[in-house]
Amino acid sequence: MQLAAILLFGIYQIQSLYLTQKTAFDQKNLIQSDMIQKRFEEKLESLQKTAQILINSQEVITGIISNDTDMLYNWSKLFLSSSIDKIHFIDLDGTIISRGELEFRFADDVSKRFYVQQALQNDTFLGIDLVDGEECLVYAKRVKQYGQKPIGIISVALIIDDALLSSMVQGTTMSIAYHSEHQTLSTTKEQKLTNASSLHVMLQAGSIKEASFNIGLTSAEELSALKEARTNFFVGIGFALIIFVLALHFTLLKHLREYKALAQVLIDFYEDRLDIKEVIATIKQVTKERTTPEVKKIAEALFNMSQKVADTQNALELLSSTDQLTNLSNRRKLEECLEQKLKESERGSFFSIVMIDIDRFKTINDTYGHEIGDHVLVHTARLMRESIRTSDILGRWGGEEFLLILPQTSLEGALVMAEQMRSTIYHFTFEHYPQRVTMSLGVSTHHVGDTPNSILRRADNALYRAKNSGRNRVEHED
Amino acid sequence: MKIKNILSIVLLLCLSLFANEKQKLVFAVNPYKTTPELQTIHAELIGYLEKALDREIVFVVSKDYNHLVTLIEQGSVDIASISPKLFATLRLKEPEAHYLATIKFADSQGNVRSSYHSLIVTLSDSSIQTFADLRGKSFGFTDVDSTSGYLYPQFMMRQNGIDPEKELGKIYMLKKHPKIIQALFEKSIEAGAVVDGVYRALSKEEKEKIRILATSEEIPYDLMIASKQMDKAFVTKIRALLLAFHSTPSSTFSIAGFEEKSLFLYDRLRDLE
Repeated sequence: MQLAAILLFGIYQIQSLYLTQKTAFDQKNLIQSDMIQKRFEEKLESLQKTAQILINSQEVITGIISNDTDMLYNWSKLFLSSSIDKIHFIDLDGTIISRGELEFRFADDVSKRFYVQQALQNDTFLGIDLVDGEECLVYAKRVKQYGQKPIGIISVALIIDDALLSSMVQGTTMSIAYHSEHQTLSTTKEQKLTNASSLHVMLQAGSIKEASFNIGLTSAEELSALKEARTNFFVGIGFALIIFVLALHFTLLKHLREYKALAQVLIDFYEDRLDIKEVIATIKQVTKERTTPEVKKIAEALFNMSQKVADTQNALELLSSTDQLTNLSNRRKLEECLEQKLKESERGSFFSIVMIDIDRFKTINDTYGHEIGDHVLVHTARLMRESIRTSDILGRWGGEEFLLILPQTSLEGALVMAEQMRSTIYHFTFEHYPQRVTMSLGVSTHHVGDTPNSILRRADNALYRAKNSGRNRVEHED
Repeated sequence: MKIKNILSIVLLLCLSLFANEKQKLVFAVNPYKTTPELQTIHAELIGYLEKALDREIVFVVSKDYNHLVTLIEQGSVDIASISPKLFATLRLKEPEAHYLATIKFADSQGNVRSSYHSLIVTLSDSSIQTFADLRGKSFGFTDVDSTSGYLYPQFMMRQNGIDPEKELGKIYMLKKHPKIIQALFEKSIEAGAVVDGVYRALSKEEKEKIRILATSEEIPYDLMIASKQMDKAFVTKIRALLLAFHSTPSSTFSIAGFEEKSLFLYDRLRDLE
């Protein structure tokens, strides 16, 4: 969220900056447009002022009346400048009396020119017209003696050329173009001006058709650069964002992979694909790997927890498979082991079993009580356990009956073991039971196709024969 | 220019008083050029007279033509150089000034002349062949006060049955004589009036482009006069000195010499207007 907020703020800032710059850019262009507009108006004012100054001169009035070409020339040449190209004095017949720009050229008839006719008819003309074959901004005014009697016309003109256009846009980043039926001029080579707008010119309709001034940007480079800067900003931010997200993704992925591995171990555990020992082994592996401290801590905690679970499980398992009195395996455990040995025998192993029963145990209980009976059971079990191999499995089958499973042991071996066991008990002196304790033992060995019941039945039959043969003896299956 | 003129007047008055006391001669001229130019033109002559007369000459430039006339009438100047037209006017007044001699000027070709002519010119290929052809044609004069550029041409036209005020076409005032020629070449005017010196100064090719329609009679140059208050013998002495004066060849822009002209030539000028 914070990241998104920062990004949004950044984008907002860039957009704001762009808008500010764009506004400044537009403002600058507006100011420049106004400046060009003002320059244009100044040009027009200059024409009008010059004409007015000359008209106000009594000598000029006299010069017009007397067709004093020389004096009018001397006067008008003083006013020629970069803003005034032509000054003509014209009589009421439309004949030029004097030209400021051409000392010896005069007396030609311009009565048909639009600006002359307009000045004669309407007193003044301010517009665009052809003056001596050149398109000009023209101000023509009727000259009156004593302010009343028309005596002639003065026309002041500025040639519309590249120099004029350049002077109007000088010092700006704008361009100006002039278009008329006769010519097209522009301060730029570009075919079309960017953001072009017409110059607001207060000119009378002249004889030049479609005459117009347009101003606009010389090129769209500045605006494009601004837009490009914004785009670059956004692309940069977008790119940075993608990089950041990818980096975040891979960083999280790396970290989460370890968490996921731990979680998968737990999932496998409760879905019984792993037992607790495998869980412990896997987690132990994780704790040894190079990983982050956080993952390591979690793995250690899980490891400790798994250890506890394993311990508890072992305790429970032990409890559920152990006879409480003798601490030997109980009947359930023995049945499991027997099943296991039978399965193993299918892959070539073999085993023998010994069914053991303490002789006349009921008499012991009846005569000496259950405590002594238990005492006999406990010590008999201890003695038997001490006499067997670690691979052998001894358990209490029920009451005073025991079952001994002897892996990888033949019938003969089992008989030897059974005899040693019988002898050990026979010769042992119990602390609280004064008489001898004897055991009858029936031995059977594994046959192909045995089931638990079949092998147990044969051992049980052998035990039965030992009992019937006087007890305290070892019998084996037929 | 005004300040300069005022100073000249003040100087003139002061020097006039001083001249009377110290027997100095006051020599006044028309302001037809700048004061330094006039001083250059007259320097050799003044030096010559001062030496010959053994009198100091005070050179003054009048404010304008009328002022010079006033000064002469008042007797504030002893001798003066004036235009022919002004002299013609002065001759009608009493007391009349003494005519001394007519000035001879050297033109750019080195010809020394005491008179000149007014020419009515047009382009060689013009349809104007006679005075009658001038009717309705545009015409260039120099100035209404110009003898050769306005008065004589108009006089000649009237003599030949043309009323320049009514029968000519557009009339333009070009002030300077060379401008008449240039305006002709530019076809701004169809005919014009110039002093013959301007025509003579043209190149051969330019002359070929110009056709002289009419030439005026002789018009004398500026002349020297003496105040009526001056002693006649002294006037005679000065006249003799002037007629004997010859400028050195190097002084191109100065007065070349003097010559006596018939006063008729001056009186004739009064008929021009």
